[in-house]
Amino acid sequence: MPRRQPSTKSWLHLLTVITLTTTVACSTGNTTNNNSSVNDPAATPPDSNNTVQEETNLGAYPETVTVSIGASVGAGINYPEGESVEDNIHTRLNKEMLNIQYENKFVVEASKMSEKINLAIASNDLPDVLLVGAEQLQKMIKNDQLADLSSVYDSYASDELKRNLEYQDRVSFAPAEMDGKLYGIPAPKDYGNSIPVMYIRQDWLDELGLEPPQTMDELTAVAKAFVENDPDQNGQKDTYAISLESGLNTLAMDAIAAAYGAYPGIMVEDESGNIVYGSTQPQMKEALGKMQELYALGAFDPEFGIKDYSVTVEKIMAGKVGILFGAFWNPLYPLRQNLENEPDAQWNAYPIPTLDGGEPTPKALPFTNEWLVVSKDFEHPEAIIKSMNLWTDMFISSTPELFPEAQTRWYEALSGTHKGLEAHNYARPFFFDSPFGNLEVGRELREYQATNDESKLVSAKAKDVYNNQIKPGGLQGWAMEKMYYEAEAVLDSYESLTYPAFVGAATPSMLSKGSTLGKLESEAFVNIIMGASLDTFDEFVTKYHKLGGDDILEEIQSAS
Amino acid sequence: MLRYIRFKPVNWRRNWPLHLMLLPGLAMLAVFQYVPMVGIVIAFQDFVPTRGFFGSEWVGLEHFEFMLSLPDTATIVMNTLIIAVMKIIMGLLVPVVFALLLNEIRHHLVKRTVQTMVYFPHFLSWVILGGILVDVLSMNGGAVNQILSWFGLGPYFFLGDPGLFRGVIVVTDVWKEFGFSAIIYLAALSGINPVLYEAAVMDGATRWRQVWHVTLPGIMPIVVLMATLSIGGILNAGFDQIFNLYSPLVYKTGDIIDTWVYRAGLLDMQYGLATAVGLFKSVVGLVLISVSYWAASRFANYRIF
Repeated sequence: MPRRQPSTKSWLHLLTVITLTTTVACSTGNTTNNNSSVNDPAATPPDSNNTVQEETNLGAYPETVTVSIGASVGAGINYPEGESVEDNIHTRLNKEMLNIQYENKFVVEASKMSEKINLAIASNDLPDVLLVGAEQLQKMIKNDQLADLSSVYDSYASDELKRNLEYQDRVSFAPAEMDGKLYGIPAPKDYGNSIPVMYIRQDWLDELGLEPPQTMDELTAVAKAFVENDPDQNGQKDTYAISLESGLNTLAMDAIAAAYGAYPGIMVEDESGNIVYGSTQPQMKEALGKMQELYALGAFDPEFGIKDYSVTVEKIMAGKVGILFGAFWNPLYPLRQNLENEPDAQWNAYPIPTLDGGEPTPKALPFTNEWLVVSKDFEHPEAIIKSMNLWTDMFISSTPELFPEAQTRWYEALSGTHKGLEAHNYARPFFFDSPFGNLEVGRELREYQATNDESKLVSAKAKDVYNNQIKPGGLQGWAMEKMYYEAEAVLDSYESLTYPAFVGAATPSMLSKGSTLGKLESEAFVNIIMGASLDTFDEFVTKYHKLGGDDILEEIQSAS
Repeated sequence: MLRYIRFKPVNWRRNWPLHLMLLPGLAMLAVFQYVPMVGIVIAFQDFVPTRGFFGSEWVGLEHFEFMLSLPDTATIVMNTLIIAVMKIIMGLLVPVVFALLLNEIRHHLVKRTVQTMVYFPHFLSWVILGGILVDVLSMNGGAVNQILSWFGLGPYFFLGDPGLFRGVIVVTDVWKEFGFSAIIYLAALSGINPVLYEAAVMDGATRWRQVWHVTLPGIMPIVVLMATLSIGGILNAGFDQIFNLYSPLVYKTGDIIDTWVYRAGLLDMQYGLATAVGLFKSVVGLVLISVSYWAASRFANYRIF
């Protein structure tokens, strides 16, 4: 069920990108291939079909094309001296390579972007290109505000761009397609963002003579010991076992629920193959019962209900928490920062525990929840695809074919002028990432680690990570090792994942009843965890169905 | 003292420059208050921005019916009323008492210092105070719970306990604003004719009697005026404040009309529904301010028109 992303998840996305810059390669080797195709409009794009290449210009426009976007500023968006949100490395490269001039129709703080876009939609005062979520996309399609992009995508997208966007059988395209038209280009993120990995303080385990938990009973025992036996040896009972923050769709809740076969917040298939809402299934009741038990023994912050992800981060950094159910990139943030404070801390990554110690089946969300959309009044929709080609070659592709020079310059900037600035955040028109890039890099690195055979490092990204980040060591090297050797290995070890059973466009009832139902659910779940009777769950299920849940399920049935 | 003034017929020839000066203000009022009222039609439409106010489909009272069918509606209206009424009462009482007490202090430096200190929180935004209060009211290590623990009380989960949340909202709001509100009463106090006190002393009135018979009647019209004006805002329970302090834990007692409209309108993009609820709120507000104005003119002889 596509729902409003809670702020936790926006943090995830912001932080994921930290991972991604650091994985970028410095591949000066590819520069000389075929510069001509960039600047010469008549040049043949590689592998493209003959009829298309006649009219398809993948290089620079003869005359400058101006594109307006809505840009964001704020945490994680830093410019070097002489650059700004108006004029920076990305706008300059787009101008130079493609003769596309990006302008900002509005600039807002990143956390206010969604609201600003809602206002722009409501007042029908749109920039040429925007990055929108699923519900905004539906609203804009209904409002007839968007251009059909199917033909420009087919003829302009490079093979590498298509390979990344169409990962897993074009699953990311479904929510943007309607009546044979394509209204948005997916902006994917790493597929692992939503999948929980268990990070645990190994030094605490050792201190107390415990083993990493594999079952829920072991998890409970470890949690109890972390709370009561003073694992940080400061003589005070000031530690929490498991970090948990408010909101639905937190990775901690996902991880614990998955042990019981419960998948909150998404539509799942029940035994008879019907689509049902995961939060209302009996398995969820068991999971909440477990969380209630953990809360009662002090495993969570007693005030988790009013605290958000930033508090989780603070407590991890301060060394007050023993177990973090997090994403694969968490070693970079906040675990690394914990090591800055406590150099002796040891974090290890493990698969999430299960009920009986078997294979876990964690919940996974679609790796695309944002789409690039183009106003129907814009005259050059293909310009967006051309810019996406440029970004693919700069950032994602290991063998850039259209813009090798741009990749070289980008990597030079990353190790020079733009070092540590997370400059990919302001890619134009908008940032997106390969859904499988980190997974592949992790595999290559582990292969190399196991065989010590340098030829196993095939991609430029993997070489860069190894040579420029892991080899020099330090905290950055530690974090990269944890991430690629351990966390990515955990992700790779998950043999099955539970994706939402329904990924189509939000149905009318989802839009109109969503806020009521979301409120109902978060209220019920938080109260149960904090000790309310488990009957509250049954009341919640009854109310959920009565107040719109039935309508939503009916609409899904008729849509599929 | 305020008194009902009977206006003479306007002398246009002499007063036209004054009326001209009024014009920019009226123009602003028209542009920013009256023109946007056209947007009220959204409440009766399935609003689609590209088709605009006049092209969108009319749905009559559908949004209002949906609103009344929602289980949240009764709760949020009650929450709004309870919080707002408590705020109005405390927001009148505390500044008046404080102004009276401060007025009795004769030492100028002390008076000024105290006044500045209590006046300061008014200038902090709820975004900042929200962050501070979460820490101050925390169960583990929060200053308030630590002080309470000296008396063997608590700890209380102030921001997470539905039973305490409204109290926290009212107390923090009064704490933030009472210093600023007291200014008006202090001004009224300084406007009382000293002759009245002298006469009271001559008649043998004690300090307490002076307050009761001279000071209080002297500021009563202002108190009534402030009460009347605040009743118009009875459905404004304070969006900024609650938005920054609430969480799903306290929706039951803390979710108000404005926070609900924010979630439905801005987050879920249900413009029609959000406008309908907003309009509903305005209509109730209009009724209440009319009643209170009538009451004020009837009982306190206060009139604006």
